[in-house]
Amino acid sequence: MKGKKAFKRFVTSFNMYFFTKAVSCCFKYDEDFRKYVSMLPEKFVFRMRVLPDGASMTIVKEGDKLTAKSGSEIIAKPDVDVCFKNVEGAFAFFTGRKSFSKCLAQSAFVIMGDVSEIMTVSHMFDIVASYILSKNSLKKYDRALLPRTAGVHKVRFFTLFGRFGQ
Amino acid sequence: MKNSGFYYEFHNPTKVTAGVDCLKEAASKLPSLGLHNAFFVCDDIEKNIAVDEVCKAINSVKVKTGATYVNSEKIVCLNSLRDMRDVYRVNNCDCIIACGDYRAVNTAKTIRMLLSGQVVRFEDVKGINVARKKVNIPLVIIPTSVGISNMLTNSVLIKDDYGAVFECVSPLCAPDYVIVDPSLTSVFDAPTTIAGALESFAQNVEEFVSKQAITLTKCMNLIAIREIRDNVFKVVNDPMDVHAVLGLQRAGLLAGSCYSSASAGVAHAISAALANVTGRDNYICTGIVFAACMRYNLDVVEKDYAQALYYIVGDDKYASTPQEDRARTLIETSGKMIKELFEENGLPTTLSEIGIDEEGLDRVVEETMKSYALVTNPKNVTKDDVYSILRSVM
Repeated sequence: MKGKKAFKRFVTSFNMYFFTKAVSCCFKYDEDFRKYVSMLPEKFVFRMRVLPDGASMTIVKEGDKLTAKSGSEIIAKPDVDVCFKNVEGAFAFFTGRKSFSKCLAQSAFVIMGDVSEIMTVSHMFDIVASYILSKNSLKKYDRALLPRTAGVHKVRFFTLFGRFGQ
Repeated sequence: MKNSGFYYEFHNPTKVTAGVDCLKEAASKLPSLGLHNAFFVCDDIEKNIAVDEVCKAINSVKVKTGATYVNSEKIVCLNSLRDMRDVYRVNNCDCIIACGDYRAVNTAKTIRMLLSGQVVRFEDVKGINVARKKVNIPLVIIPTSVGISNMLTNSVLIKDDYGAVFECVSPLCAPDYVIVDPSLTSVFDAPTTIAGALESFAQNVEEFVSKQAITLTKCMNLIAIREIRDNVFKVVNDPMDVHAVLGLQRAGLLAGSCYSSASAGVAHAISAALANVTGRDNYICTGIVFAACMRYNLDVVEKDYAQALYYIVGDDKYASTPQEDRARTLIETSGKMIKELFEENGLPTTLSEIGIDEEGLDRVVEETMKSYALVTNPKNVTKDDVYSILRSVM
């Protein structure tokens, strides 16, 4: 397996890292995003990973905080576990070619967890996408653009240069 | 090519036999599917006289009914599933046959998913595409009501031990064989049949404008809408008209086969939440909110609505309606048709009639926002949007 689709694996890992940072930034600055987070249960753990041995990201809700964790910190039993079946699906999602819902409709991943919580996460990801994707990418992304409640440049700046995990 | 707009997936593994008095002929094919000792699931054995006919037909082709389970719950609970699993194993059954309305269908699909995936803890199948096939257990569905497009869908609802409802989506839920015989349906009362038909209509329209709709599903949805237009008033005039009932069932089948690809929209999310909160049937709730939901989506899917009008009103009226008015005409025509048919059959047309007041709205909105159907609605739905839709039909 080693060496196969190395470019896609690299891009997926790279984009996943910044996507995780963007989730933290949206939580800080976007009101709608915080509303969706408040709908999730306390100590909610969300994990997204690429099968069989690709990159992964974990997001944990603790009180008023939303913490992003790197792939190496393994959580035994996340509340929602999104597993991309292969790097192709993950590459399409993390490069903005397919929305979360489109991946869902095309069975790009297996999701373990409560469907209602998955829907909340899906809304959250749409908000994140509306900040980090360019205009051209958003045309490919099949969700209508959500109204943004924070400055797009601010979120992008802290996504690129902010500290990871907060 | 895979990431271009032309890429799509469509999955429908179910064999369908449909026709007036086709039950005996269809039943004769059951042994070739490897069915010998059936686990029979039905909803109400006393009221549903079709169950007797089905039992006779399958016994005549030497398929035994090893065990019969009567389930009248709208959403099957874990305790019932545990009972069913034990009954299935004790009686050495090798297949599942469901006969009844959406309750029997939902129950049979759920128990098939759990047995086929050899699931030990029910909580482990929560989610989407989680259960994997380990044992082949054929599932045959014989519907006895009209609007049960859920017979071909790949999702089920389960109530856990604390009363909370969770949804499972898995290809294992889809049946292997569906036998649609309208003569088993005609014994039912007209209001149920009509409300079921209108629910199919709503589902077809929602699938047609869904974010995930593809050309294949759109074609099926339009044909289904035409089937409903042609047959619903025939059934109103004569509920025993089996050919018209078969037309409505075809529309339900088409809606069901598109669901796995196109899913539904905000109307189904709201109606499922209303059904959960009020305990009323899903199809009644859909009829109440559907026109308001169409109005809500209008600005995004105006072209699609205008296209669908042709299949509702026919050539002459479509041609005489100005292009810019077609979408609105569709909403008005659909709303009027649903309201008139509901009123004629003594069905509720407002939320207050099904016991929802201003306080009950909050719970309905919370439930709606959790629905899987919202993902594919053409517009991004917020809580405020759901409140405004619900208040417009109070």
